[in-house]
Amino acid sequence: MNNEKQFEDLLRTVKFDDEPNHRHRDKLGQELLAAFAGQQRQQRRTSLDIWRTIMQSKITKLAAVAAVIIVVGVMGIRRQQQNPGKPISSVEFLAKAQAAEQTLFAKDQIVHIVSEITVFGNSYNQRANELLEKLKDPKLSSEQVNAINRDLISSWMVSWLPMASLQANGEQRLTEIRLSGESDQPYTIYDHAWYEHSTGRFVRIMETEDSIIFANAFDGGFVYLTTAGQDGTLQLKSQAITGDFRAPENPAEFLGITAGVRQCLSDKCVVEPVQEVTEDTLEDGTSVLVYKLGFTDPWGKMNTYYLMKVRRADEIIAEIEYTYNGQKRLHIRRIASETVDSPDYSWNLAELDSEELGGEKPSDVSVADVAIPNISVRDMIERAGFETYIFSNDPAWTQERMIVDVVDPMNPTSRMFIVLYTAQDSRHVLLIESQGHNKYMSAMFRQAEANGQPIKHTTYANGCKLYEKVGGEDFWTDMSFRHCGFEPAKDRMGLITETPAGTFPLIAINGALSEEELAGLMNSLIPAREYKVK
Amino acid sequence: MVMIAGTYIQNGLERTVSVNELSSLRFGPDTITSAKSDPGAFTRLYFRHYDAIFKYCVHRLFDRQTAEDVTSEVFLSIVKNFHTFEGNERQFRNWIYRIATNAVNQHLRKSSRQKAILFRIEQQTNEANGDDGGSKSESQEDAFIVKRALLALKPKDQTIITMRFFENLKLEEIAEIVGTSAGTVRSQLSRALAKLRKQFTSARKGGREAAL
Repeated sequence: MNNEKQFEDLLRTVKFDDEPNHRHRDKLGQELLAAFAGQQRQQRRTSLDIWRTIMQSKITKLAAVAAVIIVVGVMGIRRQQQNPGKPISSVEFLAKAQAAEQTLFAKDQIVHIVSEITVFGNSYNQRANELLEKLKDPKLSSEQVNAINRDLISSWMVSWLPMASLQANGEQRLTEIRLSGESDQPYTIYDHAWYEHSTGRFVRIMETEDSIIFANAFDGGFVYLTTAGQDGTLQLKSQAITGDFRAPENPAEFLGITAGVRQCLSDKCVVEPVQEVTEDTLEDGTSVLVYKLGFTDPWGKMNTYYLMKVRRADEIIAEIEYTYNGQKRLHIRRIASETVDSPDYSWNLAELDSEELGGEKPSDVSVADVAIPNISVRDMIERAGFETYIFSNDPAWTQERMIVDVVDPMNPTSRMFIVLYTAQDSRHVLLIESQGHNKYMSAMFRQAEANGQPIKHTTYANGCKLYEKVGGEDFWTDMSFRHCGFEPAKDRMGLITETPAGTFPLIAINGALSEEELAGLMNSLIPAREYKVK
Repeated sequence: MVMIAGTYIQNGLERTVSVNELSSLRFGPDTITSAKSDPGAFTRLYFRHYDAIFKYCVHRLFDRQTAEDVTSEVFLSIVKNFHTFEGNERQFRNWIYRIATNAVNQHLRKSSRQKAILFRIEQQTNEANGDDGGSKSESQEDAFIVKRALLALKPKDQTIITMRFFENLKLEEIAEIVGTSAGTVRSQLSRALAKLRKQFTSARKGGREAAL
């Protein structure tokens, strides 16, 4: 049939058995009424959870910098004062860069942006364990301990790619993609983003040469997001948007070259002001200004930094390099920015074939949620893989408890748990536990003992020890509370404890406790598996 | 004659509604708002949109039993998410079409289901010809090939063609539903039709050669 008109006429004549069955309609109507009543009851309950919902996003921020808090804080390193001679705030710089990048997305047609991400070798898992073993050697000098610490932090803090994605409730979600734990070979990922300015619809696909490793999309009615299932396979979840959802105003916050980076360098993080600005030329001849911004390491040096290469012509970031402890870890560069008629993938990612998702998860790539809020005590026990502790009774001055499961920055194969107790008198309590932290503190304390400088402690009736201050408590408690959305109190407390199980929970209290309250808190620490729901 | 069209419960009382009464229902600007808290208003809204969604599902799935299942799924999803919806009734219609589209696409993702649908289409076509599979009229054969060719298209293309030719929606209306411009729908429709026609022509040619 060659004639288009003729074919269209043929389509119009296709017959269907489509007369509605009133019996089905009525029966469904009854079912809907029952569901409607149930939903209204649910709604009333949901409104009580608004406070928790607000807390979730703050907790997510906490998780993003947990590594810095724990590692730097426990080691007794204080944040350096910002240098007044360097006036460009890194946060301002990134905000400006994302605003400039937004112009790439603001087109009448659909925009397609491709970034190439190269991740350099990261056999941190094995190396970290070796270093922890070394740290137990009582013959180490303080210089050797410092050197091992430096390497350890390097191994913990690298090899992950922050991912910001959009959820059906409009909130952003942070995930991280970890690459091969054992390979030292560079790994390349292509990050495709299609965005339609007029509708806010988008598709983001991250893929290796073999398969898709991450996907997030919004088709106007549903949000699609990949997550790693229990069996390790990548699963696509679709959710109808909720009333809170608004099509994002600035897609550069979660699409394109700076997506995820800014979230990790929020104004409450330890990133220093822009350190230096130099000139450079990219491979394609583009003239750029290179901004260096990063973290001061525990020894006062900035060996960990981002180099942001900004095009002179339009102030848009063209490339980002991430260097950790002097070694280049990530290189992200935008390799295409174009307009197209339609995306290569449907806005509706439910149409993705399971084969396209890779079927089985690639063995050298894993995707993990940075934070999963509101888990139960039972969930914590099952997910931990180590003996977790909790207060048998919530601290008397607190009113709400929430457990958040976050990625363990020190031990990529396990999770960290933050139990947050909020108090009306602002003396909020955080109980932080992770396997990576347990291993590290165990090694450090044994090292101190072996050198004849054991850290003094008090042992409570339940066998838990409370150590004297080791330094840095002000720092990590300040960071912790700020990232939970609380103003840190001047008299806040940071406690390092050791349980009979050999774990080292950290406790932060946003205010002073009496001797009695402190003893009550310590004595109420029990293994989570013994916890009884009140 | 008063035809019984359905029942709904308002303030706990079950009522029977006639077609005449249904057609006379008027929807003011606050229809959606009141339907969020008033079961009666919600039921009226449901009755108003049931037929369109059911027909759309049949036109995508070619089987009324499956269409009824998916329609149920769609409206239950609407109840679940209704509190999140904000807009007028036209936007509500667009919203439920989107939900229906996603539900249908989700259903079609399994190739085994597509095969079952193909089997049923053929069966229905044969039944319409007195169980004599060999004596289909040319128009029935064409309809069968069209349906089969539609199933072979990408869901996005199936959606647009169905909305345009079987639901008789205007390009502007389709654009509102899929969240794009009428111009984009026009070009997408043109491409989708070209693909469908190619599939159709090829299948029909293959069928005739086989018959010879």
